[in-house]
Amino acid sequence: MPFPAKSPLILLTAVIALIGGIVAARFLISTERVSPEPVNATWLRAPRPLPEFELLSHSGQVFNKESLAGNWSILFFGFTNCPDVCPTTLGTLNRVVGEIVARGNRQPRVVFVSVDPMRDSVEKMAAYVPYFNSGFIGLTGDLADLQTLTRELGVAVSYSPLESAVADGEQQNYTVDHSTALFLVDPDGRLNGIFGAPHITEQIVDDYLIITGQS
Amino acid sequence: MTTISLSPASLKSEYRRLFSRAGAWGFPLLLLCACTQPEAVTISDAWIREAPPGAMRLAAYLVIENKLSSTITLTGVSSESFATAQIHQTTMDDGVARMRMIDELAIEPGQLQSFNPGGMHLMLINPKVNVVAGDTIVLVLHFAKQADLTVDAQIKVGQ
Ligand SMILES: [Cu+2]
Repeated sequence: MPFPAKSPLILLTAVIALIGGIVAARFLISTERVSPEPVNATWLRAPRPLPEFELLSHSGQVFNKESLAGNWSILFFGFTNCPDVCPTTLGTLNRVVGEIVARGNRQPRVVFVSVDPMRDSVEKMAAYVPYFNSGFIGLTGDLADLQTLTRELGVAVSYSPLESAVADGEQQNYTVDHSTALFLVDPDGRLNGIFGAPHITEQIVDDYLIITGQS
Repeated sequence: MTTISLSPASLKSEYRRLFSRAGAWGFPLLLLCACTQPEAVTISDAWIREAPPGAMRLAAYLVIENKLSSTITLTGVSSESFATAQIHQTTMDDGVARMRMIDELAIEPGQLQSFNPGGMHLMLINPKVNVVAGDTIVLVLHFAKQADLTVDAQIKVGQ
C-alpha cells in the first residue's frame, strides 16, 4: 500500500501551502485596505446619483438636485408633528455637526425633508427647522416630488390615522410612519452612505469623516 | 427665624426648645413616612421637550412606580395647557419609526414604567400656552379604579 507511506509528506506539503496562503492573504488584504471601514454606516463604494427633484426650502426658495452642490449633505426625513423621534434625531444632528466642526472640518449641510407636505407648509418648516440649528435646511413641496426622492432612497413612508378624534376641530389627526435613516450625499448629488438607527453622535461623526475622507 | 443668644444660661434652654420643637414635628413626619411610602404610586422625572416654534405636538416623559400590591392601569392623561393628550408608544421596526396611541397601560406591583424618548411618551396635542424651557406644566394622569395623580413636568431642551 503506497498511499499511507506517502501521506505524511502530502500532509506536510498541504499544511505548508495552507499557512503560506493565509500569510499571503493577510498581507494582501492588509496592504489593500488603506482606508478604515465605517463603524456602523453603510458605505456605497459606487455612489448612486440622486434623481432630479424640486422642492421648496424653508426660506421659500427652490431646492433641487443642483442645490446639493458645493458641500456634503446629510438628509433626514420626518415631519413637524412628530414629537418624539424627529426632535431627538434633529438634536443628535445638531451635536453631530458641532462635533464635525470641533474636529476642524467644514460643517455639512443638514437637510430635513418633510414626509408630511400636506401639513408642513414652508412657514411651518421655517419656524421648526432652524430651532435645532440655524444652518439646517427644511424642505417641503409636492407629494409627487417628495416621492421621487423617497422612492429612490428607499425611504418608507406611510400615513396612519391616530385614534380618537382631537376635540378642537383639527381633523388631520394622523401620524406618519417613516424611515429614520440618515443619507449622506456628496457635493455631486450622489448617495455615498446611509446611517441606520440608533443614531449615536460619535459613531455618525467617525463614519462621516471616514466616508468623506476627512479626519 | 430662631435666634440663639450666646449667654451660656439661655443656651441650654434654647437647645431644649429646639429639641422639643423638632420632636413635635418629627413624630407626625415619621408617621406620614411610614404610612404613605410603601403603599403608593409615585411619578418622578416628569419633563416635556421644549417645543420648536409652531409645534402642535409635544411629548412628555416620566417614570411611574407602582409601589402598591396590586396592578394599576393608566387610562389617560390630560392637561389644562393642551387641547388633548394621549398615551403613545414609538416602535422601531426595520428602521421605520411608528407612533401609535395605546388605550391603557397596566403597571404591575413593584414595576417601574419609564416613558423615554424613542419608547413611550405622553403625546400633548395643540398647546394653549408657550412651551418654553424653564417653565413647568401640570399633567394629570388618570387611572382605572384609582385617584388621579398630578405632576409638575419641567420643560427642558431635549437631549
Ligand atoms: Cu406621539
